[in-house]
Amino acid sequence: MTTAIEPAKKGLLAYLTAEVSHSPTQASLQRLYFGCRRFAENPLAMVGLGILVVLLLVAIFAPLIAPFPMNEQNLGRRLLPPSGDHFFGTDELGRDIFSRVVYGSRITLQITFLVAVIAAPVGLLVGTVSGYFGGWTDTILMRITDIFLSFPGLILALAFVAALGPGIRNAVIAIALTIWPPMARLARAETLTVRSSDYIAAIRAQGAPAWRIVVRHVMPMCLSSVIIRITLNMAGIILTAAALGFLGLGAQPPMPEWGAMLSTGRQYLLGSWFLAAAPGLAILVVSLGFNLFGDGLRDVLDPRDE
Amino acid sequence: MIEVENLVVRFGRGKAAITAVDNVSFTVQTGEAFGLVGESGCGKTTILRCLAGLNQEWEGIIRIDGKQLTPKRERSFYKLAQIVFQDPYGSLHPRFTVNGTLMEPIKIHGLDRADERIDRVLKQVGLGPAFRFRYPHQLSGGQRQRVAIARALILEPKLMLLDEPTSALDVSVQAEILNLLTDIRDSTGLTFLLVSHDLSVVSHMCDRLAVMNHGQIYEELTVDDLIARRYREAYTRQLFEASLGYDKRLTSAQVAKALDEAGA
Amino acid sequence: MIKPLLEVEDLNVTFRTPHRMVRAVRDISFTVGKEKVGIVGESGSGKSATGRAILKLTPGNGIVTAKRMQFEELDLANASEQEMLKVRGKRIGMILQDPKFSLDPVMRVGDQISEALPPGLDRKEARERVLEVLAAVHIRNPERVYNLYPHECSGGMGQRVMIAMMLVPEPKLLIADEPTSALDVTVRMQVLAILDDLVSRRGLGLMFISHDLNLVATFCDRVLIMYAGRIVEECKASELRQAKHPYTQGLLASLPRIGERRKKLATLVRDPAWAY
Repeated sequence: MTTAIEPAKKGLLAYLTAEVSHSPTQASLQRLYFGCRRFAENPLAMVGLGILVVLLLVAIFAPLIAPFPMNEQNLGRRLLPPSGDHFFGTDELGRDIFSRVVYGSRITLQITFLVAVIAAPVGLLVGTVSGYFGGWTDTILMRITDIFLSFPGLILALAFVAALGPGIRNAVIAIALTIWPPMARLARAETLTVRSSDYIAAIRAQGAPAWRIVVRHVMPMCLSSVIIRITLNMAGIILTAAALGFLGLGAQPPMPEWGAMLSTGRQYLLGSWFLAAAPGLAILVVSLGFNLFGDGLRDVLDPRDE
Repeated sequence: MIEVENLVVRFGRGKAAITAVDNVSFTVQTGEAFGLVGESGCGKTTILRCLAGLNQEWEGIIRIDGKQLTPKRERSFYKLAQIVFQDPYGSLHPRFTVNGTLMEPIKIHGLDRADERIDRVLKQVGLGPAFRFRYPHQLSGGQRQRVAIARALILEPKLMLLDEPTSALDVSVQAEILNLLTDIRDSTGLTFLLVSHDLSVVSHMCDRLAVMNHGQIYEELTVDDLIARRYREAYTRQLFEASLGYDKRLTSAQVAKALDEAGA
Repeated sequence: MIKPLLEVEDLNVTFRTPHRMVRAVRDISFTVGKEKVGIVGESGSGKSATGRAILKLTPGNGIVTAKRMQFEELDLANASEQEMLKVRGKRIGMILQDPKFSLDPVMRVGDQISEALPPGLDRKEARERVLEVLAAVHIRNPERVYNLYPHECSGGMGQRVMIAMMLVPEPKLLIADEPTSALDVTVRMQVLAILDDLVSRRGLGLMFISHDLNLVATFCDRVLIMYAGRIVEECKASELRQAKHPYTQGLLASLPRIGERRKKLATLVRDPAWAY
């Protein structure tokens, strides 16, 4: 059946690399295709992508990958070092650390995704509106942003979680509240540059209402910066979540959140180093993955040396 | 078509205020091609932006097509007058295809038969349907400027405001775009207001022109008068002679004196 | 036959981009003597790349080869970076388009020009020399201008400062890349007159790179027209109207001129054969 598949493949490739596009969809898909190709030319970025794909797969297939249930205690097999049965050893309650790290990936993914999905749009909206309209709108919105920015991230997150109560949901809200202000600042800076460009003047000269200009013309130009910034901030988000977990304010026991695991592992560091090392390594690798991916994304979306 | 009376534009406040346009008055007849000539900072672009509705801080009277205008324009105004910008590399939104750029005014004004209008206007500027779904970075400077002109035409305005439409283009491309503008003028009877620092472009495209410097109109004359050297102002003569090229008879001492007097 | 200052034979400049090799300059040969030679071309013709290649200022991804690139007694083609340092700015000067980008914004004009002086002069001597050279470019008040910062200078004055800076080490050859394109038309003529005067009085060679055919034809002694990396025409400036190559003729015909009331301008029909 290869003859049936090859012409079809040729068809898709031909569609994506055609000299002339015949529809808006084709034009957008072509842009996406070439963007992906450029991304693929960057080996480190592909490593980052690889790490994130592995994270996603591990999270999805956790029940299939983890050899033991995440909360199954076995007090007779406490604090065992890494071995063939227990790849990362067992913790103070005899639970398999490897399985807990694997299930913990779900929590990590959940937190990073939710934070990004809340903080980025809020930051983008505040920043573009502030930058485009200027005047009092800008002053008020930016002073609000300044208030949030003047607190160190972790302290602010702590304050919110302390007020709202511990738990993953509140941790997500708290972290999102610390992440949106830098996004707003970034979006505002981009908007200020974009605002004085000829293409914005052109659309104003065609009678476009302000909301349309902001949403359809200004935001797309700020979007890539915000996306890149958020990916680069993912490492920080994970670490903040880990810190909250470390302090007992994020995911609550017995949830296998990596930060919480790191916290308990601290007490056993001298004798059973693997309790802390395993989740610590996981945090390191995932943060690195996001950073490399974000860098690669920046080279594609915001090329400097063209 | 255009009546400007005592237009004043000031930037900045108090002592640091600059008067970019200093009590300027002129008229442009319907169907005419009028040039505003001057060097950088003379105020010609500022005037154009005031007319286009992009600059809202001006005083004086502006009437277009008989109707007196306020700084803030109604949407219907934009169907009357459209502007083409100087820099083809900056005037098209990088994330919109040609189709997207041309669709925007259609959607903003709720026009019907979008495809028909887009095809017609692309044909008018000499770009085939193959260009419809290209992004600006896939177009050359001349092609981008054609798209910018198409965008201005799609609302079927009566007045075209052109801000140095060819100064950022290569000489050979400039000729094509100027010819295109001539064709459009012939086929639609549009009124043109062309701003430029290049006297040869203005003398080629326009019927009448005004020479500006330091925010004021120094002289208004017909192109025929210009060519016959029937100008009155010394500044007009300076511009005229500079446009002919370098004059080897200038001695540098004379020149230095002129330079220092001009504060250059 | 006086030996020319600069002799270039079969110069090639190729740029490596991620997807292909771009041949910006292709096997061009020319000479520059104690005269004003204009190199004219549209964007992409390779004219700027030529100017930079002579001073070995081509960006990193460019490869420059030449059969011969001789400046007076120096073999530029095979010169090392050390040797080029003694040439650049000293024996061959370069004037770029926008003084805003070529002058250091945080240094006073006078100090910048002093940097071009040979070492070993004491402060008083150095200041004298700088004031002298500012006066040579017809700046009326050299003391005042000495203390200005670049952003406080107008375009014409900034360009004159650039010219002054380039003349201090008494070079033999000047390469000017669009030196007046960013200036207003009236100031342009005046700056050119100063340049003209200096070049003829000091017996310098001038390579004037520009896209403005009319300007080059009226200012320079000889004109070279470049297209797609090649020199397609070489003639005396006064004989430009009798140019033979169709590209030159096309370019001349497509320029709008005051006094010629043509309805439409002739447009250039590019013959792919010109690129060979």
